[in-house]
Amino acid sequence: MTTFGLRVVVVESQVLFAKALSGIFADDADFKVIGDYRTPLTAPLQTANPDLIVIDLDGQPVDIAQTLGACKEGAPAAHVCVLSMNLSPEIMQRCLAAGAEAYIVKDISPAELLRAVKTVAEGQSYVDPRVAGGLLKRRSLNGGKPDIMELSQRESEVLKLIAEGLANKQISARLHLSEKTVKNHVSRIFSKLNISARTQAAVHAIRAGIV
Amino acid sequence: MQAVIIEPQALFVPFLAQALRRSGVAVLGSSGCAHPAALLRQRPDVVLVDVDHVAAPLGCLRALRAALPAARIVAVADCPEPAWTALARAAGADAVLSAAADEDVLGSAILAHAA
Repeated sequence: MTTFGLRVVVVESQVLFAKALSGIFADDADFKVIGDYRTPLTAPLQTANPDLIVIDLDGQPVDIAQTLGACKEGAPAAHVCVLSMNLSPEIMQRCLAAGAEAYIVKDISPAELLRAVKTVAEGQSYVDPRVAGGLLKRRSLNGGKPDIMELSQRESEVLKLIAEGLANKQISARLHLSEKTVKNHVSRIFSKLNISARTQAAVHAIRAGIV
Repeated sequence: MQAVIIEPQALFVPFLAQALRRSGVAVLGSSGCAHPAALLRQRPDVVLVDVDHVAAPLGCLRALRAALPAARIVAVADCPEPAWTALARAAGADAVLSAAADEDVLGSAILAHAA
C-alpha cells in the first residue's frame, strides 16, 4: 500500500464525533492522526503539514468557500476530504470548486470512509455516487448543458457583473482583482458554461436568477 | 440495560455503540430512520437519538415517547440551548446531552439518566 503513514488532520465541530473520526483513522495502519480540531480557521495546519484533511462540513461556522479556503491556505498540498450529510449536488460542486477532492456522505460505514479516503490519497477524486447521480440527472434534464452551479463563488460574482454590463477593467476595480485574474475567471466561466460571448453569459446569469 | 441508537450518520454508530457497551449498556441495534419500528418493538430501555440529524427532531421525540412510554429517551445535540432543551423535554426527551462531551461523559450521563 503506497499510502502508509499518511498524516491526517480531522476537523469536526463536535468533540464526540471528532473522537469517532480520529478513532476510525487511528485503527488503520495506513494513517496517522496528527491532530483534531473544531474548525480549520483556528487549526495550526501550516505547522501540522498534513497529507490529508478530513473535514466535517456540517456545523462549521463559516461558509464553504471560507472553510475550505482555510484548509487550502493552511496546507496547500494536503488532500481535502469533505464529509457531509447533505445530498445536494450544488453543495458538492461548491466543495469541489473550493478545492475539495472528496465529497463523502456520512451515512456510510467506517470501512467505506477509509476506502474513499485512500482513493483520494492515491491521487483520485471521490464523490458519493448518489450525489454525482443527481448531478448527471440534472444535466440530462438540462439538455446536457452544464449549469451555473458549477461556477465557484468568485466566478459567480464575475458573471453577475458581466450580466450588469461591466467590462473586465471595471470588474477588476469592483472586485479588487487584477485585470488578468478577471480575464482568467471569464475564460473559466465561458468554458464551464460552454459559451463564447458575454451576452450568452448574461443570459445564463438572468436565467439562473443571479441578477 | 438495552439501547437503540438513532443516528443518520452511520459513520459514527460503531463509536456510539462502543461507548454504550463500555458503560455496560447492550446495543440492540441502530438506525438512521427517526422511528425504526422494528427496533422499537424490541422495547429498549434507552433510546439514544442524534437530534441534529434526524428529520423533524421534536416530532421524532414525540413519536418515540408515544411508542415507548417507559423508555429513557436521550437526545444528543451539538449545542443544546436552554429553550430548545425545554422543548425537547416537553416532546419526550428525558435528557439532552451535548455532543461537545466526550464518549465517557455520554456513557455515564446515559446511565445516570436511566437510573
